[in-house]
Amino acid sequence: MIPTFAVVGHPNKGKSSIVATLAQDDSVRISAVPGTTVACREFPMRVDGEVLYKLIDTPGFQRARSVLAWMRERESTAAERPQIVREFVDAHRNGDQYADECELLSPLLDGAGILYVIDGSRPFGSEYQAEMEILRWTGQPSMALINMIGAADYTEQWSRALGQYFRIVRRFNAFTARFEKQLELLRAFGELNEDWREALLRAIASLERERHHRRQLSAREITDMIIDVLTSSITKKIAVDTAPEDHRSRIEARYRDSLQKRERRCRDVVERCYDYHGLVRQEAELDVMGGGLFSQQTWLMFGLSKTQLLVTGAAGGGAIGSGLDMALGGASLMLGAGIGALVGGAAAWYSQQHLSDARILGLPLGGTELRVGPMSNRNFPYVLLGRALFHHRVVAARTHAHREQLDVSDAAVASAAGALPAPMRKQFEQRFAALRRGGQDIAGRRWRSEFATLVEAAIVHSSAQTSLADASAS
Amino acid sequence: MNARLQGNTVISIFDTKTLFGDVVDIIDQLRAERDTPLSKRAHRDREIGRGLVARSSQPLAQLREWLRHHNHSEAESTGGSRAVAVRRGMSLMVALCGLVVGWGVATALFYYDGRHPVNTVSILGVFVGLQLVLLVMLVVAMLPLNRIPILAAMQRVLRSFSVGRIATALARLFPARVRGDVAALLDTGGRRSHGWSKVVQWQVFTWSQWFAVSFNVGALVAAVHLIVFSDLAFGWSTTLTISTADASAWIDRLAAPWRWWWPGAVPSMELIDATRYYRLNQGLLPGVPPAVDVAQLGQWWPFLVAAMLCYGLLPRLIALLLSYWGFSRALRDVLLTTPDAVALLDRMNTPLVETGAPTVDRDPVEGAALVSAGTTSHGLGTTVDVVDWAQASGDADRVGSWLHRNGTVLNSYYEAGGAQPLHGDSKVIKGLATPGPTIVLLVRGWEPPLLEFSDFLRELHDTTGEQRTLVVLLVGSSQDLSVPNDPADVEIWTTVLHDKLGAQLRVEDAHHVFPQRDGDETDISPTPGSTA
Repeated sequence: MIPTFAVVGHPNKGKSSIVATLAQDDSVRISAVPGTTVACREFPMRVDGEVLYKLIDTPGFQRARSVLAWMRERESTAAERPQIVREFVDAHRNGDQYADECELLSPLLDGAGILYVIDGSRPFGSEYQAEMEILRWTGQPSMALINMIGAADYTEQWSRALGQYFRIVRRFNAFTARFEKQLELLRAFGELNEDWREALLRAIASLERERHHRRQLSAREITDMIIDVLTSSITKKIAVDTAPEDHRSRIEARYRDSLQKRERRCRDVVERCYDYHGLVRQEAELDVMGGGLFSQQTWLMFGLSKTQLLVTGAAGGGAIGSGLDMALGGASLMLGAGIGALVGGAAAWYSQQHLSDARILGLPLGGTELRVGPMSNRNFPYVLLGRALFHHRVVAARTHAHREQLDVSDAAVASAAGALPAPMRKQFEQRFAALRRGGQDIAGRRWRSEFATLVEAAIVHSSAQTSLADASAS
Repeated sequence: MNARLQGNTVISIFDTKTLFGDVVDIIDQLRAERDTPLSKRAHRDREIGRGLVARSSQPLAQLREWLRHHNHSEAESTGGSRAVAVRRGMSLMVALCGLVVGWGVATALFYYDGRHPVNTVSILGVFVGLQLVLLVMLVVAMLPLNRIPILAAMQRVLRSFSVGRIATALARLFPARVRGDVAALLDTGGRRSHGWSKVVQWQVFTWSQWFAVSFNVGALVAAVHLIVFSDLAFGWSTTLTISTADASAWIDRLAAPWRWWWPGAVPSMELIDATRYYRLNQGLLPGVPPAVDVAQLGQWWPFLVAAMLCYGLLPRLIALLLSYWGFSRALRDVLLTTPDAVALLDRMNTPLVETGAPTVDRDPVEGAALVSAGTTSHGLGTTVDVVDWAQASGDADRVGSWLHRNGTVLNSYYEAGGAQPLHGDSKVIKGLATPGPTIVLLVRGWEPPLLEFSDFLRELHDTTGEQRTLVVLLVGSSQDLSVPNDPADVEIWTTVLHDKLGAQLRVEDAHHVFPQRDGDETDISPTPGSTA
């Protein structure tokens, strides 16, 4: 039988939050108003279609005392209690009075384990006793989860009460639980029933692999983004008689927008890797502009720059001169090649202005090429990397119970890259320098793959640093 | 070679046509699917991927097999099939151009009108010398860009002068649809990924080689045609001061590649010596010196044909094969670095782990819009009856003293809800049935209002009728009624009980009724207190 766990409890105590976190599903409805969850909703954990376990989100108890009273009226022996629960559900399944209770008890009658959720930041209340008693009557294996919604801590009080009804009591904060904590909880589910353990262990192994895979995907996307941003440039060819300044602000804006858009796309992809859909981000835009980004140069026939035209002229002249040298059987001591190169180069150099003014079939043979980018600031790649690492860290650490905006506007994010160990930083520097030199051409498949591995290592390092900081803070 | 069967990462140059079509189709298909829900694609692609486990180390084969699964109708015209047709058409046109030019050049160089012999130096200059120079330029152009700084400018120039570019010029002669397909192939709009520029570069290179190969074929055919169907006389002549011995040495070196298998194509010293002619030599042709055997004048042709084959056609055939290899490699690289394709491979090869709900919420209930709570108290009156629900306070004396401080007299105190038995609730309602003062229901503000409480409230209202006002007083702490509630909690209570019983029911924060005063004990926790 597939391990199934029904998350039950009082309304508004974080059942849906816990389900959202464990199921990594941000579509779970979480509302402050009680009664939002009116029907059970299943969250099967599947690997290639095979269900390894199921979580079921249920409505909260609304009339627990009445239900317990109904059951007690029919109780004769303890052995009959599960049957009485079944009778209760059968008797009220189609009515409105106990719709929530019938809905939440049904999966338990089908064999689901109980995950009873309470809010450990609020005091224990006597009305919870009826709920816990009803759950005990079902005879299903059970575990109590102390969720911490607020800041106050009534864990001890709750532990004493829960300990009387549940063999296993665990603390689990749906909003702050890191992935490792979530797996730890899943492992604990295996303690409820020996038969469930194997499937749960397989599920845990799959989730760990998936987590690693998500990190790899994110690293690859970050790598692609860094390569794209660092090698990106915008060029515009204008006629010689056009003032470059008329175009400058426009192409600078286009350049800035394209880089910022690329970074945002990377963030979207990383968020999707972690199953977040439509997260609203609070973010500071990438600061792109800096000195030395804008340049202009004259271009001539066939899109050649001045230097290229010079080389072409010199090479052409040299080749002709070499022909003469050969014709003279070497008697000219290669003077022909030298003179030819000089003459060709000089002719090309002095003809530039005339060429750029000339037109063939109405098309100019030359003009001015305006260019913005690529970014050559040596610190910029680290800013970019730092922002990406920071964003990934925030996304990976977030749980799906959160509904507020993703805040990645922290100005100090650049330190995420600054805190990398020196050898790693050196490797990054080598790659950034290679990109500055060779552009996209050097970023072949293997190069990208190696770079992505390095980025992944930086992600791991960054996460480890955060975990250490969290541990020391706690 | 069947792509379906081959499908490995070792690229076959004979598979270029189908590979090219597949790559274009895969990229186009992936782009078209971007709006398809990821979960749908994930299921479909993983299903295909599971059937290709044996090829998990052959990404290219997997992608092509994915395309086969995807394209049910092979007959349908796709972007790939159109691109293949355009490419083939362009190659044919370029080859035709090469053939015509080659034929023409050879016809001109082998031209013989009986007055002057065909100068072998010219033929070697064009079909060997020039072609070798062009080959060197080709090698320089194809070296990786930006690796050797001094060559970079030259490489760019050479690439821009590639003969293959005549294909793009020829495209202008065709209708707009074909021009569009050519533009898509060459990515003139810059819509494809950066890697596609390498594909274009190799494509232009391939067309250049097609031109060169067909040029040489055309030249050879023309030469053989003239040799077979006319009587040519060959000689050699140059203004340069080259002795016959030097010429012989050069020719020996040139003939080295075929010396062993075609010795007849190596001119002898005698032939070289006998067939040299000078401007002022009026006697050779016509009027050949009597010492020269006229038959010797035709003996150059095997050497010339061998030279054209060896230095013209053969290198270009090798270059053509290389170009196909490079083209395939560029195609593979562009496909395997396309983010969409990389993601597809991931979906195919990684177990699909799903944890979320497979369906949307089947019966979602919209949370009611929160009703803002009042911030002041309407007062409780001089006397009240109190129902302590679920031990919100848990102590009649404590409640009494708080009321007393506020100038209100506690008329009667009841406990209901919580751990009380159900019949206890009924007794409370019966006890309050008679006309009397305001009924204050003390509830813990931090707990949500349950239907159980709503039931009690309704029954109480039905029993007491319109005569008594009901005040639901939210306490923020069991021990200190002046502790304010969380405003969000007050809003929830107000929202849930809003419109329940009309004007007779009020929801108030106990903090507003019993404000904290100076001198109050401060050792009471401001957070919700214990009911234990």
